[in-house]
Amino acid sequence: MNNNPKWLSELEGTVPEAAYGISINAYTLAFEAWRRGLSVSFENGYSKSRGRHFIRYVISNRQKSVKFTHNRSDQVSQKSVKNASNKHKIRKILDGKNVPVVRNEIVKTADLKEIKSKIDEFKYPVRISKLTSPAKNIATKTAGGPKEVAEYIGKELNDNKSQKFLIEESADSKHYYAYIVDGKVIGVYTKETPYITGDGTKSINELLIDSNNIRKKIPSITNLEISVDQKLKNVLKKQNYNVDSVPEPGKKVTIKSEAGSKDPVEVTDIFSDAMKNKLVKITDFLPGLIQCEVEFLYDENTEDYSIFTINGRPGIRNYLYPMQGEARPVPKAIIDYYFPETKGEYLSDTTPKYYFDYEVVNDDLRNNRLSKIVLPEHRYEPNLVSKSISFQSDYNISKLKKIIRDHFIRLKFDGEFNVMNNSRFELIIVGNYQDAYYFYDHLNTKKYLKNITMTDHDGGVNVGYKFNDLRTDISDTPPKPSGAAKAVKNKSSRQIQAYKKKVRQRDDRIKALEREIEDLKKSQSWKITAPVRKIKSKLRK
Amino acid sequence: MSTTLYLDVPTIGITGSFGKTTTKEITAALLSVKYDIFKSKRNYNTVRSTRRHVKKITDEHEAVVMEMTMGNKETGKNQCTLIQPNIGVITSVGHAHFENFTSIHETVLSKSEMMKYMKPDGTLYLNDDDEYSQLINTKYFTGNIIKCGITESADYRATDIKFNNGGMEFHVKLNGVDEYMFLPILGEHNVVNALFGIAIADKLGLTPNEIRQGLSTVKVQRGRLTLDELEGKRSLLDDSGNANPAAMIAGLKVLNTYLDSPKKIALLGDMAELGSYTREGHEKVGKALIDLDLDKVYLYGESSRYIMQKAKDTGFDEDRLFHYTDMDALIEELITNFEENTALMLKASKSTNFKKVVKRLLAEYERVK
Repeated sequence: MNNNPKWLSELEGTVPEAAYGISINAYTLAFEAWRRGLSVSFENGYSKSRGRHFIRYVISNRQKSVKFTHNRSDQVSQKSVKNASNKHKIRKILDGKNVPVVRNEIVKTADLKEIKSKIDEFKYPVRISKLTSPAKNIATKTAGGPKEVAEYIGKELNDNKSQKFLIEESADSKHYYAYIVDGKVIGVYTKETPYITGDGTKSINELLIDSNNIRKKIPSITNLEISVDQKLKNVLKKQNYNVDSVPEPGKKVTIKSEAGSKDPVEVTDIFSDAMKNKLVKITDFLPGLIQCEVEFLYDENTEDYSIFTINGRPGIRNYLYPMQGEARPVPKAIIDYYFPETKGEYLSDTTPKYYFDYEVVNDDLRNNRLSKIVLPEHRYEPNLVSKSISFQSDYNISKLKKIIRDHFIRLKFDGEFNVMNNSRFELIIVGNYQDAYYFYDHLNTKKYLKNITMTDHDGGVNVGYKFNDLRTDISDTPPKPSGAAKAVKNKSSRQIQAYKKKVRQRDDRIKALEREIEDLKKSQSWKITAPVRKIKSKLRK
Repeated sequence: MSTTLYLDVPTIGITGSFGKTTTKEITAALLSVKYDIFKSKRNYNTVRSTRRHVKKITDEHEAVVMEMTMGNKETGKNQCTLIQPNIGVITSVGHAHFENFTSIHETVLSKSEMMKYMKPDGTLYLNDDDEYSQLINTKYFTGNIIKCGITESADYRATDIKFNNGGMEFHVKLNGVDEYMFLPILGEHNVVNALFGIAIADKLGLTPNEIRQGLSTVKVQRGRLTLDELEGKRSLLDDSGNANPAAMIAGLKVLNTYLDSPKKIALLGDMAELGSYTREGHEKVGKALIDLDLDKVYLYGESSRYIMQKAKDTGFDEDRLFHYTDMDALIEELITNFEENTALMLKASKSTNFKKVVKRLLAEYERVK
């Protein structure tokens, strides 16, 4: 990667960790609406078909309300979403409209002749998916022709693992993903094996650190960082590098195996307007699909393309956090569509960077403790400033907590009171500049507070008041730097108790398994089979 | 929700307990000499009115003069969130709209919202004569502060104040030179209101001549201390637009000091919206009467009884005090007593409806100029 992707500035420091993972879809959209002054409320919905609770949210102004799930509104045609969920069906529809599609066939036999008759003209390699259940396609890939397909299917049929197989052509072609809202392509990305780009001065190890610094900022619940381990060393070795090598400027060095997970790379600008229009027109064949993603194969040289599928429930994280290129403002496009009167009207343009807590949505709402949460309005007035005040004190923390909270309420501050350790404290405040300086002066009159400093705070600020006792953090990791949204801080004591309970349960389970192993070793059967294990061990040697 | 209008041109926000409309009119008249301005209409000064005004401001306007009421907590914030002034004026702090507050300190805080939400490096104009304006805590304001008044410490100070030809003559120092000014409306308090306009005009580069030219065009709305000369050398000083204790005393001073009629009559009505200050406010006016040389004082409305009682208590001649609760009877009595060579001043809150009295008097006697 060029180690310098451009992400959306409004999301820097304003995405709480509670909104990481799949929640990023709902959070970024709700956040976009909220900072335009629209009302946002989250509700606890119940899906009878799925038999579980789910989060939906309502964005509204005085004139209208629109309900969303993830990043999709209830105005998107459910029929079209359902059609789009079956790629075999969608390809049939598109093929019928003379749209080039990735060819595919469903095969139920291992008979080579029959297979040949169906897929002989496919572009190889082909992908074979076992259709045990539409939602759980397990794909494998074969590099050969129909014969290999027949052999694979024959083996699977013999093992009685599956009866139906979907064969798709062009299995090793690069896929492109285009997000379309309201008849416009908002962004296109593709996926590439993770790499770093040499600059002629930094070693691979240093470039990797840069890359990981970016990766750790991606709001993902899984660790996306690349470890310096044997796997990496092997990958580098294949390219005649080691971690201390200094690649030439512009030289791409792969840092993960081809088979591993890939990185999103934004490529919107490589497509002509004509090509984008073609993609948009394709979505017209699914009426009411206001928002969707077109997944397609594309040849940059010939501009030939074929549609792989249309996704009616696309996620947006890869558009917002590409590892290369510029983030594409999908939430903006969606809110522009549903609330066009708010286009470009951001309250957040002249205020400090507010964000809202998502922990309560993920915790209280998802766990059915609350049925509805209404966000407070995005604060908006002139002369708001954001400051960070730190001080030391040996004063009773409970009393300090009350004093600070009272001032937050009286002076109408938003922000946080963070207990860093037993004697070090940090305040993040947003309020009128005169109130901020008054408050700082006021703190300086208190004898029980020492070493008070106030600096500008550029990071995000949680709306409302929040107390974070960082001393109770269950991990041994040092506190995260202030400014960015800190979900670790936000764990309520209830959650901490829940985590502790999980740890206890896991420990108990390990102990139980260890006991089982011991019991097994003492059993008669273990003793009887002991010679077999000895022979096996000798054979291995 | 609409976003704040931040303008690069002079954007003047005028608030205060009294004098807002007059100051706005004067400032607008002065700036009109040099600039294409937008001014808020009449005394439409609520948040809702400001929202409407803001929509009418265009790129053509070179300066904006807005009257902004801050008669409630957070109203100032809401006003400045619609359009942020880079020049702020707090004309005075008093007991007008006191029903919304529990103490004068709350009123001070409410008016101080102008200072808190206007442009931090803008210029704020304060009344150096006004007692309660001294309570405004300017410690954390990061812009410039200019004080206007008659007191010596004022940055823009009016001296040699005289009444002449239906207006006020005074001098003010501009760039070190003592300049003569004439304001075609009455009252020392209006001279201070004019000083705000003069100070702003001076800051924005108007010459003394341009300022004089602007002042000559100042017109105030009917009922805001407007003077009608009627047949038989009768003078009708109509201040029935609105009232609070300080403004009522100021109006009485104009009648007492600047009109030279041999006979002087005051008609004082109830002052509304004073809340817990109702009794004290009326009594303050009653107490002031003893220092004035008035032939008769007519009082109308329930609260005005406090004026009467306090006037009596402080030694004002009881025989010169008349209280009425019937408007028609009051009008008849006034017509009888509004003899030749008499000056009559009316002052009350708008809700007291002295407009009816004025209408009847103007119908009865012809204007001579």
